[in-house]
Amino acid sequence: MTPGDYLPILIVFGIVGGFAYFSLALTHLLGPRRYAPIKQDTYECGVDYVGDSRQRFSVKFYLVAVLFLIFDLEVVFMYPWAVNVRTLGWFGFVTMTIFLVLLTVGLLYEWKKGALEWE
Amino acid sequence: MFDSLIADMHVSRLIPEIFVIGLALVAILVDVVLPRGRSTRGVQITVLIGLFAVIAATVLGKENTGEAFGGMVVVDGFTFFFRLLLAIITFLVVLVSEHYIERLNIRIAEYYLLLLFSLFGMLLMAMAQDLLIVFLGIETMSVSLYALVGLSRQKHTSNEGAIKYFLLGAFTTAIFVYGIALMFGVVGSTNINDIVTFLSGLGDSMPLLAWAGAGLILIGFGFKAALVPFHWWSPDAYEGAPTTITAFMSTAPKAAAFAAFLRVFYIAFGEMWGEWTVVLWWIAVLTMTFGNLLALRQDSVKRMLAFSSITHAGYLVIALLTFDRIGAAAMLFYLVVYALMNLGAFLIAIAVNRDESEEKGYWFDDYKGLVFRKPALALAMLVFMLALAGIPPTAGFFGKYYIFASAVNAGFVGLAVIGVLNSAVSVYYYLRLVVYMFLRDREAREREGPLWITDEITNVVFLCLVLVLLVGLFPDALLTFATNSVKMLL
Repeated sequence: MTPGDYLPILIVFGIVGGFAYFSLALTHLLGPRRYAPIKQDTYECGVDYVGDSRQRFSVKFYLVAVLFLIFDLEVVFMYPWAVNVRTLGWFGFVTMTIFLVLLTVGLLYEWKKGALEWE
Repeated sequence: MFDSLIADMHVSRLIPEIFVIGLALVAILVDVVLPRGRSTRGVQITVLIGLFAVIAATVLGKENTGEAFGGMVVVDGFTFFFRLLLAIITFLVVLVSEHYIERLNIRIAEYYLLLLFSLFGMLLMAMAQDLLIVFLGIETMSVSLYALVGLSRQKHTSNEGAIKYFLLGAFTTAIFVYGIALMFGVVGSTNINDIVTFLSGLGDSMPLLAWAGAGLILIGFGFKAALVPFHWWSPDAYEGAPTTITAFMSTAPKAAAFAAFLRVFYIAFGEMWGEWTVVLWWIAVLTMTFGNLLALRQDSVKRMLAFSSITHAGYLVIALLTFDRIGAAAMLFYLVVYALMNLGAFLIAIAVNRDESEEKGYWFDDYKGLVFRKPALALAMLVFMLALAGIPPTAGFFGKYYIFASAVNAGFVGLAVIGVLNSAVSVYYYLRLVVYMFLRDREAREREGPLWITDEITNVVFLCLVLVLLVGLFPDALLTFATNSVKMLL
């Protein structure tokens, strides 16, 4: 591969960017503009918005998010294993057991440390 | 079906690492089982026993060498050397920590757990034979260290150090990974043996991409070893961290970074070495000089030692860039000596510091008249300062001597001269502390607070002291060990 071989990719980038700016510019120039209070509102899935988005909220939410992430990813690893469990045999089973033991100790840790209690 | 895969894993060669992880799990359970707020002592004892088992497993498994996990890691004499060094440093740090974290009011078991995780990362770095394993090791080590630096949460300096270290560290990690990606783009593999095979087949037509990749990887290592100009995080992180962690960070992770640096650059990028020596030449000169010049101006002993640790990394780079067995052995020798004298110096600094709740502390002024208050401690500090300055009959002298000799031997006479000059400059600030200790003045008498000496500090300082003097008088045994440990690399 020489740098020249990548030229088509560069051209695609150019076309993509050019098209995006072209359509933006075109709507900007041609489109009608009629403002109304509802149109200027923040879009929140069609529901009337509540308050400002720049407010502080409890650090507990982050904790829950982080804990969720770990056990969510656990499933990502378990699914492929579960699908291929016969092919992987004992090797896969032992590997998965080690993985789960590590996670279980983590779960025990966060449970006993009170990370799962909201108050 | 997986028999060949399992046979290729050679799990038995990784028993010390498996012990470390198992120990961390057991320590977590001990922490959870014991009543909250009073579990640290139990965790500490568990970790000490476990680390003893790790060291024992390392020694007993010395003969069980070879690749493991399909060539991702390799267990050889070099690995053995660093396993011992890193596990022993961690052991000593854990030993003195319990009373110290009680004094700092951060009695949480996570302190020990994070130390264990970072030890695991460092062990991976020392044995890695694949750039991805190096990366994994660096990250495991660093993420634990970020948290450890910021452990004294009520101090601004601690928070500042942690956030600086974390942001710069995360950024450098990205650079390092980018380097690996470029290398993979050139070679099609991240295994360092594949890289050297491929690159040596190219001869003179080394692609630009390979240079870029190796350069980015160099930046990654430079950051972890705190080499100028990638050192900006280190003084603040070292100052803000609890002092036991500073002692740990300036010795063990530095050793691990140099271990991985040496293995990756000597083996994988051996073909490009001629050009890298020019870059490393400048890095060595800048690192030594910069660390020295800033250490001259400090009025806090902790910060002075932080800058001096940058300088010492510069000396280590000299040994590294010789690209021969003598230089590599000198580097390993110096890493051990440096760990001993730095641990000793930091522990005495802990003992002398009057008030841990102070944001900065560790003033030179606190040392005034120390020799009259506690002669044994002052004399021990004298020995460590002489060792750091590289004055015989301490181990520091031979450490520097071997490094400069290896540089001369490899034809870097100019660099050796600059190193010796820097070493002479460093005598000023090390001996300045000694002068303070021997001063007798009335004002100092009024400032005197009680010294904070625990049995553990006494024991570990005594051990370091004896070893620094012993290695200074009989350096041959350690040098032979170091030389044997680098045999398989070159």
